[in-house]
Amino acid sequence: MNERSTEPRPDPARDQQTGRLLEEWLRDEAPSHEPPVLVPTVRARIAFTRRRPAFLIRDWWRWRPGRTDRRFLRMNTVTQLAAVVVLALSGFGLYMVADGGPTTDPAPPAAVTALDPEEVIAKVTGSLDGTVGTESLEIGEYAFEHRGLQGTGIVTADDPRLTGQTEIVFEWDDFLPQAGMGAATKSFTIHIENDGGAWDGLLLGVRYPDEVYGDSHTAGLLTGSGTYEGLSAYLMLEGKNHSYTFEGLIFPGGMPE
Amino acid sequence: MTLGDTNDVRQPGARSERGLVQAAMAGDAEAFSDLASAVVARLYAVARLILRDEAAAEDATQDALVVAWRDLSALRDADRFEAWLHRVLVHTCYREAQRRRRRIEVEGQVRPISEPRDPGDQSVIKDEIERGFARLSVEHRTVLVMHHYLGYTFPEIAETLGIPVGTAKSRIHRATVAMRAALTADNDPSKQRGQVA
Repeated sequence: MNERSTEPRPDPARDQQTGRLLEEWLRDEAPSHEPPVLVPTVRARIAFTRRRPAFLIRDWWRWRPGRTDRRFLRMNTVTQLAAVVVLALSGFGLYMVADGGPTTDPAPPAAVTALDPEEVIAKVTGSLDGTVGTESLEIGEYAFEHRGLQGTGIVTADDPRLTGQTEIVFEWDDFLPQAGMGAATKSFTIHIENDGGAWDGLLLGVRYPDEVYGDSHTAGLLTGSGTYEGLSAYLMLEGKNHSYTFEGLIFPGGMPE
Repeated sequence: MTLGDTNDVRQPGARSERGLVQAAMAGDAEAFSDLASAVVARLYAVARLILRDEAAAEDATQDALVVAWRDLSALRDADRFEAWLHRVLVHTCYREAQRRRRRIEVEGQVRPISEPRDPGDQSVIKDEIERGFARLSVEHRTVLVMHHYLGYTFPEIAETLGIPVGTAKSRIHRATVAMRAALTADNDPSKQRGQVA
């Protein structure tokens, strides 16, 4: 609807009257009680929903248009020092490995030995349909960043262990030199939940320069919890606009290191 | 006065509810469940007004409370829980509206041909408001609900939605003007035939 073209001239008196009518109508219209099933459902879902630590949550609700997100620059001194120490230790670790320094053979996760591979390993195919918000920030000519967009969806797989309600947080950058076409880099955290437990992981993906907006090639590793403790699921997703088909493998333990 | 009181939704939470917020922020799921029970009626009312659909409002409210629980550690000030929760709700309402938009667009709704009626009749006015409100975009309905139902000021709306104050003002102005235009159109018999809402 093009409001500008049909917009009547300003008329404060009539706008006030419209406001008053609207106020009365909204008061009359508002239901006084929620549906009876709502609270029990919320309680049940809360019981199965794990809290996310603050450092994993983008401060999205304080986001303001035009404010460039430069979280590292906003870190306080202690956090910056901690980050430097962590980076230094990581670098030292990489140096030791590259230099043939003393390393220890990683012990296999206990869960691997506790699970019978024949029982748990399965190829899985399915689909993911989700929705996501549309907030974005233009960071340069043809470049856009989208951060902390929360989505929900449903994963339907031929293996019931991976079927369930899904919550997703998307982060992606778009490079769109042509309208609606161009490369993108994406990452999203995903949480799939069902009666047996949950899967959490990070998926990474790209869109190639000659592809249209919405296309995506994504893959990643999920870790199981609940009755799926000790299991991992590697997924490769293809699709567009948050509707994907995928195939992958459920297996015990994690990826070899 | 409580956070869940639907008669005066602007009052800040009572001390006990602030305690619940703090306990929930510390990870107490039971406290959050109690808090959810206290606020759910009003959240549902707001979602119902914004979305104009019972099932969609139920889903949006449910999602808002679950997301609020999951991300509560991002809330720094317990006193701002209400505004924070409303913003979470608005986001879940937007998502829900988007999810259902395609189906609604496909189905459409052909309004029946209506007979001329007395424009002064209260039931006629309510009917016109309802139709005009339903025709607004979800963003316009949101600002009208926040302003005229929750009683939020322009800066409060701007802060809750994460938009500049000027944008909040103009959005409310346009929504009001669109409502006025819709009411005017509904009183014009020449525009009442075979409209697709």
